Amino acid sequence: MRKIQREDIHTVSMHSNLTEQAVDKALRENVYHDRQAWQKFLQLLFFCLGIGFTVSGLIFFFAYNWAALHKFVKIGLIEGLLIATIMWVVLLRVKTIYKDILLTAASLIVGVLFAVYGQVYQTGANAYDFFLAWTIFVALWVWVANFAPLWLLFMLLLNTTLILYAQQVAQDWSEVTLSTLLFTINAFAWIVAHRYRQKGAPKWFIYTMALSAICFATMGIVIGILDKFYFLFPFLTIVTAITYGLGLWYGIKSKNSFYLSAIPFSLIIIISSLFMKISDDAPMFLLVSLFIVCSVTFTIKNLIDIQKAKSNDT
Amino acid sequence: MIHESEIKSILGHLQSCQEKEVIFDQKAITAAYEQERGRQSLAVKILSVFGGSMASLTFLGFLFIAGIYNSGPSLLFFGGVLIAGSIWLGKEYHKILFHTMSVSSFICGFILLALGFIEQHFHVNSICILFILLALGSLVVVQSYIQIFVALLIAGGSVLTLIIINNAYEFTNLYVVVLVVSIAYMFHKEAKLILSHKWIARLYAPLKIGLIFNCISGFILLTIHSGIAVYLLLTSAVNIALILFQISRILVLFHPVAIKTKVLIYTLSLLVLLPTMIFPAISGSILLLLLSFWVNYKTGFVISVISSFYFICHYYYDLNFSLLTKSLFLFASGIFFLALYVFTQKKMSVEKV
Repeated sequence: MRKIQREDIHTVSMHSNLTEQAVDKALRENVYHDRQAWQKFLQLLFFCLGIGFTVSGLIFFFAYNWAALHKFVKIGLIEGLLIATIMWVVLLRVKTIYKDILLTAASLIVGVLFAVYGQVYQTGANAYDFFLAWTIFVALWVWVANFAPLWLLFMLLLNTTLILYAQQVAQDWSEVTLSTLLFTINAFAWIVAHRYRQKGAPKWFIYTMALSAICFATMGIVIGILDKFYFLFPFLTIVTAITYGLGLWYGIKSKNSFYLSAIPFSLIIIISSLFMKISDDAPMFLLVSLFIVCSVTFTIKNLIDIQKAKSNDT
Repeated sequence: MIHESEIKSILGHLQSCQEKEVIFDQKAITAAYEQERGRQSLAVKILSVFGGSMASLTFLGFLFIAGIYNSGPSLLFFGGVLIAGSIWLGKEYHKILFHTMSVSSFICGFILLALGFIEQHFHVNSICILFILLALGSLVVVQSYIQIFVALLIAGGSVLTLIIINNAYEFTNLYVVVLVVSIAYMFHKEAKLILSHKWIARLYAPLKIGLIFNCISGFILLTIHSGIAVYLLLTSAVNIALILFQISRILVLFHPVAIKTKVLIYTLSLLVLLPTMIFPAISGSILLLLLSFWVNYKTGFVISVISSFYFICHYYYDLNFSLLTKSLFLFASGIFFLALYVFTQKKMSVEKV
């Protein structure tokens, strides 16, 4: 029997003589969190808040740029903390999740270390090389821990590094070039995470990667359509078409509503921009509006059909 | 479509929750399942909102290029027709074909009405009050989840616009308190509300998300224009009282709890919350977080985690202390929470909490 959901209780209660007590009992037994869930949640919440506040305190402390503190003490303090955190990870006998959170904190401390280094030697805290160094030096921990939030931090750092590099060094890169690179990186992470879904890659991480890849592809293609011709535009279009094709194929095969809504929506935006490129007169705006209504309706209809088929299968 | 056997097993389980024999209208239940299943998925809701908004924007673009924007009466006429048409579509046709169309017409209609009223030189206050009445009034007739959600956002947005236009920021506190109390009531009285009336049962899910969005918008306004301190303290007091009530409900799950432990838990909670009294957005978003987790409402939980993170960052950023003092506060908070972690771990592992 499938798990009873909130919607089931709502639907049935509307067409029956169930009493308030019975509905309340059904909700408590089937929907609301129980004691074990609260235990887990509270422990994780306090641990995350504790680590989060402590690391933030550290960031604020070094952001204060205490002049009386010698540079050796400043850097030494952070390195000491870094070593202590890692020792804690290695020696502490706690669940893996807590070790992973500590390793994430250590990865943030690495950022503080480079920021202070930049502060002491005036290398500039917002330069791309700061993020590049941060990305490189946490890469091994990310690989070893294989912890989704740490992977997310790593991907954020990688994307930031690339965007800052384009802004500060490779100023001749077009938006299409940057979008192509960002799409390729995020799509690669999406595919790898998807492959490891059976080994524990959480859905939220896979979807975040997919969504960022889809966003960059959409941005790149829309700019490519509306702006002048760019060298990498055909490449981006072909790679996106292949990726979207695979995504839709997988979505249909596994009846996955995320892929079957995000990818078509991106396609709707791309096709709309193509219409706008042809003409930006009033009738075209009306046509685009109708196109969006029809295509979104079509997508939703397909989604509902697929969900119905899915519930028939189970 | 859901299997007949599945419906039977759900009914069987629900029968076990009630001693008195339960009478089910199985035909109506099957029909409701057929109509609603699939529509309730998050993907469909998000697609409807984004698709509806995009279609509305391009349709407005058409109207503006066509030159309708400088004629007040025609804007009002089109706005009225679009709203009425969208409500009619949603009510008469449950087919998905009309779903996105009714959502985009609904959004478009309100935008055109606003522009029409501005063109007719109506005062912004009158427009806002009219919009609140229209949006809330539409709740009686609109059927679709997204339309109810959009109507609530329009009503909430109009209230906030009224506050901003009239520089009456102290009213944000009242607005937020009303919302917070309503949300807490809704979450704790889910069974009572869904059984009270079919109309309320239909409104329940979109009302939940709509009120959370409006509440967080209110908190954001409070952080930008905090206003008079006494009102902020009163708002926080309501939030904290509700958090303590929520804690009392959580403690019931851990029954039996020694009186000493209960006192310690309430004291520690107050110790955490009292320093944030001047910044009610923090206690408010923590309350939303606890409430959402309590009823296992994932969307609300994710929204309140993000908003709590944002408000806590804002709080420390706004504190009128040097970075060094702030760092000490943060360190102290970090150590405090780690101590709480150790405390809860020990207490819970011996099953005494």
